[in-house]
Amino acid sequence: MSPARADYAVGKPFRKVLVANRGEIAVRVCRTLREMGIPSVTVTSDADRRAPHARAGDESVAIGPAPAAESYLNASAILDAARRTGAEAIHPGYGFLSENAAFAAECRAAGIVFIGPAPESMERLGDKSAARRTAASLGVPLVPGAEEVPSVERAVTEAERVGFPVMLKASGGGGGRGMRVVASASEMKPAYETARREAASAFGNDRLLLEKYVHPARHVEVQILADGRDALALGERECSLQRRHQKLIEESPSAAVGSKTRAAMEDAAVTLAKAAKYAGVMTAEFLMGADGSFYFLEVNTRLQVEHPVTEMRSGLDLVRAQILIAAGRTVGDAPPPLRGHAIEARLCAEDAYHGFLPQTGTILALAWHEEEGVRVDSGIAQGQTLSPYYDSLLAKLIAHGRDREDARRKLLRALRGTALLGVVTNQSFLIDLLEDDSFVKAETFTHTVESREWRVPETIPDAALAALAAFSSEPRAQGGAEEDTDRYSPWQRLGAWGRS
Amino acid sequence: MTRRLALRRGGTPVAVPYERKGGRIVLDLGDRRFEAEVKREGFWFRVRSGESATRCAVARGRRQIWVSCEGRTYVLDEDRPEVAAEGAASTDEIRAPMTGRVVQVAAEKGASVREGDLLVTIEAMKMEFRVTAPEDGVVSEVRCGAGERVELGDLLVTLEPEA
Repeated sequence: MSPARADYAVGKPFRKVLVANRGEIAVRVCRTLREMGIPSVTVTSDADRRAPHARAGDESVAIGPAPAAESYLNASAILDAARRTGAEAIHPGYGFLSENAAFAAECRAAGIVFIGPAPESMERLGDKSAARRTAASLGVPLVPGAEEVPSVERAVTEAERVGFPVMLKASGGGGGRGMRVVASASEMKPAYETARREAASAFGNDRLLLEKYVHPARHVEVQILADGRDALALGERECSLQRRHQKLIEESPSAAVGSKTRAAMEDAAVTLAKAAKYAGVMTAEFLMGADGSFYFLEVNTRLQVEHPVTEMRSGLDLVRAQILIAAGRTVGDAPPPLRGHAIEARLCAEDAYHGFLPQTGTILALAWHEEEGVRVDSGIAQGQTLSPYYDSLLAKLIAHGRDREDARRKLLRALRGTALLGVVTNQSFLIDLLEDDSFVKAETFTHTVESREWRVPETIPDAALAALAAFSSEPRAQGGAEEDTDRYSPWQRLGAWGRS
Repeated sequence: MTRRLALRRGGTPVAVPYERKGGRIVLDLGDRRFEAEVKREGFWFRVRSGESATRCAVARGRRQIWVSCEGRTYVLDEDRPEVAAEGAASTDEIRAPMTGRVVQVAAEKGASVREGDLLVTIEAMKMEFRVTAPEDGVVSEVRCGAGERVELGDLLVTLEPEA
């Protein structure tokens, strides 16, 4: 029987679990721990003392200053917090230490369970160069490239061998950081140096690899659930809509993947997981060409940001599955049936109409849309001030419908019903994407977002003007949702002046 | 009483005249009018106009007013008194640079004024603001009276060029 099934009766696999992350994923992991009756510990940087994740668990430990390197990436501070609170296991979420084999090994040495694969599996699959070698040895198709490009000169040589354009990538991590497309030899030097810097700061490892740039391409990935022996494929997710290689919209199934391609992709992913004796959740990412050919990209040896898409279709709780697998449960041999269609949109604090620049500010008003089949995983709260130290992801909105169009309309309703004031987000842009012809027709490619110009909505709707008029003509004292203001500013004092 | 939104979006004035009668807002959009019942629930404003109904969220930040409608958010700057005063300099409509009480009306209909002459004095929070003529002209209309409350952006006086 699958450990992830809701009806699977177990005792508490751990007495206490520490969640070594922040934002929506920390909140989401705490939710499952609470449902499982497992006490949880969250960790916070100085910038996050009042963030929602600080209150999401049963206790919270301050682990260091705002910069991630001194807090959420600070392995010794996190292990120390686990020891002090008596946590038996650490859930790393995604990003930060989740794909750090050295950290997983440190946990093991400290007698604390790392909720994720063994460090040996991570080294074999998490490192992109090693993963490509593993894939090649198993007959999984690869994009032509070079596993090691230790210098600019070497990168140019390899690029000329496979043909420009090429892509430089960080060997040590995913998520788009440390990635650069290079169109010609003359662009190599600056791209190489930027990619290396990004890789070093994001993953603490500046090694790069190089690949031929397949274009146009879709990004399709397979979700795997494995226990060290058996591996189940839980279908694919298409995540082609990206900006700067950061995903914006993810869906399952992919309209472009036929049953034959799906079976081949799932088979490749299962083969990789079994070869690495992988235990936990794993994602194998593929690039799919216009002709349906696919190439192995990389393995993410952790929970993905977009895992709810698979959860909505399978009915599984993948965090629960991770915890049970870490406690030694097996996955069985029958994947659950996948139902309907699910689409996720990532709500980020960034100005999508002006270069996706990250935004900060104080959340003045926040309301989510509620509807059957709509899920919101959020790490923010009204009144919260967003700091510039971390990822811009604020929340994920996921809709499940009987088919793609049903899910699309539901997600649009969810986005239209959401209000987030005080910080510029990509909310309006996500609506643009879901309404766009390319999405309606499922003609989505990795370059779709960046090859188009997306324009700020010009006209303020009449209803919004009427609301503004009603708001403006009210006494300010009842203005509601006001930010802390500079009480000594004369203009603010004017604002406090009562009106009849 | 006709009021006017004293907002700008990306430097462009959003100066829509409107009337409020209880829960009813009537916008004067130039070529057309938009009438709606507007009811506040927290930061939401339910807007019902004829057959159509929606809701918008509004909140005031430190420097801006935010309004969200159907998932799209618009950020507007509140017209500052100094901005309004500058704006007034290029037009013959002299508007209130701030919300407050008119303490003195120096302008008289038909009178000639020189640039810099006092037209109206407004008081708010014990500060007096002297609204002066931006250029030479003739006072064609006086739209406020001593003791009256005025809102930011309300029309106070109109000037016409001297004949």
